Amino acid sequence: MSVGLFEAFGAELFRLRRRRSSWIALAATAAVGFLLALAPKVAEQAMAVAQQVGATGGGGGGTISGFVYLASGLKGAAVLTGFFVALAAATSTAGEAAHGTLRLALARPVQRHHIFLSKALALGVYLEILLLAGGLAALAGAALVGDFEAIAKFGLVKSTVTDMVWRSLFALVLCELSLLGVLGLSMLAGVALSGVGAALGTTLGFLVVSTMATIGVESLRPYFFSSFATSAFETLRAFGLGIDAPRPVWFGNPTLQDWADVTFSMTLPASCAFLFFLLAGVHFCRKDWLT
Amino acid sequence: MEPALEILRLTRQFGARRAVDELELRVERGEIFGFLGPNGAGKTTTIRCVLGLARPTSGDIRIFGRSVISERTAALAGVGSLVEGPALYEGLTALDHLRAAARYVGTPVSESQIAEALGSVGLGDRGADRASTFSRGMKQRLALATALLGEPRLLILDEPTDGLDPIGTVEIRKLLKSLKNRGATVFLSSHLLSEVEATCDRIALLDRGKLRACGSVAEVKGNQSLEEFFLGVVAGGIA
Repeated sequence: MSVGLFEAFGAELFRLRRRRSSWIALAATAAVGFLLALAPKVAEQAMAVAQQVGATGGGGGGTISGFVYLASGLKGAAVLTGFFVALAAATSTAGEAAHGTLRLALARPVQRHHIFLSKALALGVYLEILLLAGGLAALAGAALVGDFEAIAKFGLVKSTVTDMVWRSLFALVLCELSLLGVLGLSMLAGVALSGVGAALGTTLGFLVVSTMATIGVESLRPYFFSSFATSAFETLRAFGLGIDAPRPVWFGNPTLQDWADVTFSMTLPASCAFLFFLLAGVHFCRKDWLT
Repeated sequence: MEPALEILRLTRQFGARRAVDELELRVERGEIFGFLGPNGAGKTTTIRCVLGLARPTSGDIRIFGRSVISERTAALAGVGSLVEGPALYEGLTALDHLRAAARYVGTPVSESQIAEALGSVGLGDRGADRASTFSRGMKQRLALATALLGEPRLLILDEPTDGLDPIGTVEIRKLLKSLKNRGATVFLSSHLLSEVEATCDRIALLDRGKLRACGSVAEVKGNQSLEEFFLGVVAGGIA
């Protein structure tokens, strides 16, 4: 009798749930999401920008929209989620290979692709839970200091609450796709390299270099999956401040304004994530696990 | 009836070096089979190939008649193993480690069976302790309990008494004999010749990837002690 994908997935989830580090990551992500939504410096910067552009939220009176604080909290939570997911993926592949615990599954009647898929799915669930915790905490923080009402500028409604809610959700989806790319990249590094440090270092190194490239060459920004993790929330923040988005700020690309461009912006991080998972999965199934 | 384990002309090459060279072995059901050899002889590579962790360059391995290469999951059903030291989920308690490992066994493992596996290696009262707090010997015992999950028909053990004190070694010997009495087959790789002599029905000696001797302990060693025989083969290159 062999072990199916569902049982292997259950085993991965069981271990993630029983690890102290998973709970520490959850608490840290929620705390960062909440604190960054409240961060006085962020609020000051937002206020200064709001004064410059004359934007108000909550029906006037100079208050900053809660969506600006929410974007700030979500951005912090996304960065931390990316780090914790990369760490968990490296631990689950390279770490388990180094400690020998990967053998506990590989030497049992489980298909190798089921082992890989169960790890990817469990880590995907972990990613969603971290992001959800960070998002809810950011929402709580934002609700404490801002109002979730229509964005007005010079007496005109620039964005309705419904618009902003959809934009927030779209930004979250883009962020999730980007973080799935981080997860796939970390699993690929974890399967190909020996040791958690090497796998995590390679993943973070790639992310840092690609982020620096997008800072240096603004027009590259839409073409690096990693930039979608946070730039989606920068766009949300711009909308929250009543800046004339999307043209100047929509992921740095002025053409990203209609549904075709929106589809493009989702396809890019999704394609990267798929490619990384595919390469990692093929390598995992073919590799001689000699450690 | 098919043997518990059959290794057919197994070869595993690393570059130009042959770690295992045309190895042929047959382990009958219900026996304790000792697999001997000096360091670097190819024992662990053979075990890795048997468990499907590494692919052979050529040859085949059959477990209860099923090929590990073409029917890996079917062949590995009912096989428990301990390879190259204790591999434990160290962040978990001993019980949680066994619960996690039990999900890969392929047959439902009840809480009472998990407790029984833990008790059989003398850790019945340490289930709530984290594996990371265990001594080397206790980790080895817990790894052995992991291999026992699901009542395997074939147990493949690489140095199971490594790190154990004399009392632990005797307990493991008793455990292996009780497993044999229950019908299980044990494939035991060890450096401890006295241990092998006291426990095994038949032995095989591997040196530089090649099988040098195979048979019952008495047949293989003849009038010499097992140690003299072992040293003679390893030093001389032939039996």
